[in-house]
Amino acid sequence: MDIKVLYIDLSNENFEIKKRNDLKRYLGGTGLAFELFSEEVVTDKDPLDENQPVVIASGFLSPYFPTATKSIAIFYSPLNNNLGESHAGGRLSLAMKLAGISALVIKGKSKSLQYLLINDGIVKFRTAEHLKGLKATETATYIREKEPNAGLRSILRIGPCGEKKVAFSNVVVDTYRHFGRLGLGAQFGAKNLKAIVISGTGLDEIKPKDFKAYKEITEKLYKDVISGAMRKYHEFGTAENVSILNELKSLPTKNLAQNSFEKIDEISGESLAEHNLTRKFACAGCPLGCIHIATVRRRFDKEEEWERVDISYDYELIYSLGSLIGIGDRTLLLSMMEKVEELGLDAIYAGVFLAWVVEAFEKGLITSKDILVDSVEFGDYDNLKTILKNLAVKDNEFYLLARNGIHKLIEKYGGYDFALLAYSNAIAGYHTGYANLLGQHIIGIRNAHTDNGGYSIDQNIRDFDDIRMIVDKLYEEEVFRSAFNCTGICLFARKVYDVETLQKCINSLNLDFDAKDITNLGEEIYLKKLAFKMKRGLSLKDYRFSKRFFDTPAMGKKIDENIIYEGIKYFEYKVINKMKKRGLLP
Amino acid sequence: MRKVLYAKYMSRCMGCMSCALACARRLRSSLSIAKSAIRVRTKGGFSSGQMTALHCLGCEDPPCIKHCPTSAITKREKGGIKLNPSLCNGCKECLQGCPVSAIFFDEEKKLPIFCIHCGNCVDFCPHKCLSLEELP
Repeated sequence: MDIKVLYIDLSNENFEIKKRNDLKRYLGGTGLAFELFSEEVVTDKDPLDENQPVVIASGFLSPYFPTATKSIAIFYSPLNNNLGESHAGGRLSLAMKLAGISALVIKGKSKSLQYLLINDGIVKFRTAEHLKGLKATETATYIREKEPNAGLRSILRIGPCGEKKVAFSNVVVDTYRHFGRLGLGAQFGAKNLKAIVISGTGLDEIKPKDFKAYKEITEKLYKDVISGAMRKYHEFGTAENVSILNELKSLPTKNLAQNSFEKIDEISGESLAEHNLTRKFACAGCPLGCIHIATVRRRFDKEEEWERVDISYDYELIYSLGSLIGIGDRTLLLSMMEKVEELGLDAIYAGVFLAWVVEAFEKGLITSKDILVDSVEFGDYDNLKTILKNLAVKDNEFYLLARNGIHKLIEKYGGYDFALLAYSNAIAGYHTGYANLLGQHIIGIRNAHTDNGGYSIDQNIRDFDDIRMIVDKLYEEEVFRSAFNCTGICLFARKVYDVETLQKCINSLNLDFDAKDITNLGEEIYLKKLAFKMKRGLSLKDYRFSKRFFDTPAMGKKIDENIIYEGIKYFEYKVINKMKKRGLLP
Repeated sequence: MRKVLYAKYMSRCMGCMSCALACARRLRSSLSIAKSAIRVRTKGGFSSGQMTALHCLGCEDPPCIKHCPTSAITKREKGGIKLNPSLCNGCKECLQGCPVSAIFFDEEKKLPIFCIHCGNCVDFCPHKCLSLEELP
């Protein structure tokens, strides 16, 4: 299978496909995307400068094996002013493969708002002026009606916050999946790019040399996926964790002033399943189906005037837009998710932002003149929703700063001690202990909980003598996942696809690759990314956590700050040596 | 005995495409859903909550047969239609003739693609949306 990269220049409305088989050993996904990004990034210019590239690469195995559905975006993040990476499922990988494209590299800026229509590597540049300011959902509705290839296409789009270049705006992929983290939406907005439609005829699809072997592997994996331990992602879905984390006293609540929520029974995964769950969806190529859809019945006027709305929910949204901001009513929680979706925001960041605003308001650091609502408190759905809406429409000093992220608000108003940030990214919903803290803030390349699963290590290893053991485990997992994310297999399936299985899958698609290659690839990609971040300002030894992480007990115990800094010191020593050996640092 | 594929329970469909991938893989040794004889799509996007599966309905008196100028398509005894590839000239008239637009085209082989009611997709539907049913 050739690596074909579609380069698109928005400024000049040009495009070209280049064969990049020189990058074959990076497979696809995160490895391929990072290499392509490194070639094009202009590091001495602003993250949102029009010359910056947005790279989206389909996973090497997507969608040819069950759960291999992911595409990876790498870009210059306006949120952390450093490396941006985000993962999405939906139909994108399937559509890219139908179009015969391994990766997209998008540069430049359209003269006015546009969307791209990509079919079999041919790009058409369409006006999107009529879509200006529209919600991501509406945008897709109009494009869907106008453009061809229903069922064989993927539609990426941004909402009003992306257009306004809000640093934590997302890109919606096929309605229910997202490039959520680190501000890809703002990159689209900065490029005047409202949407991308991608489809193809599949004529360029890979032809395995040993088709029988391919068929046997993929069909065995199909059975493993639908019948094994992964079933939990289908039943209650990730929302199952809400009660579990609450019970463990690890569920960030009211800006992590608490670690459990008094209204948990109302918003738990079990409760949502009982009262609101009406449908499950899947990414294309995943028989598991973890996308849980809740239906809300809402009165919109006096007497019997009702509307119904379908909203997808997950653990992270219940945490960020539920317990974290004190919303303990299912209808209000789901309505808040709907609002975040309409605006086109990273749902985790949106909740962390609101939680910070409430506490900053309570402490008098900001006033009603800043937030343009009379007051706000935890659980105050109406005002919290207004604050989110204001992000896209109000241009006072507070909201102009807020669009660049909480850290910019802190520079003016203070409030770092209660900001739930991990290197400018918003924390995910786990306050489990040392591995989670080190994993998200220090070791995780995206500062995301899925980088290395620290929250899971904390739950499995309750006591340890030496923090170095935890650091080693996190490093090992991060390296494995760095390679895993080249394949496009969903991280939920990581236990089904061990290294040996991955190797078989890769080999069946005509590529020689052994188990050692996979581990080496993971370490190479991870260290290169870390070196990139360090060269652009990440200083591990100077990293400081907000006090809140140490004040609120995690799973019953307070985290000792000194042990955390010991862990950082050991990690830095470990990776600097490794980077030097590879010639990544002088 | 005729056996025909039904997609009776599409309100359960997750859009996972496992049926289409299985059809392409098992019948055409292809990895591409563009080679599948069953196409799953939303009816107005995922937010509409409605999915549909396009496939040959196994008409009693298939109109596509009448549209074929070379008599390459004939009725299949066990349900649906069959193709004699040596007679097919790739004119795509059958695509027009199908009242539910369920005949697709293999641009590589220049032959029509349609469901032969074999039931392979049924085995790969994790939510039991599809069934192969016997007709008298």
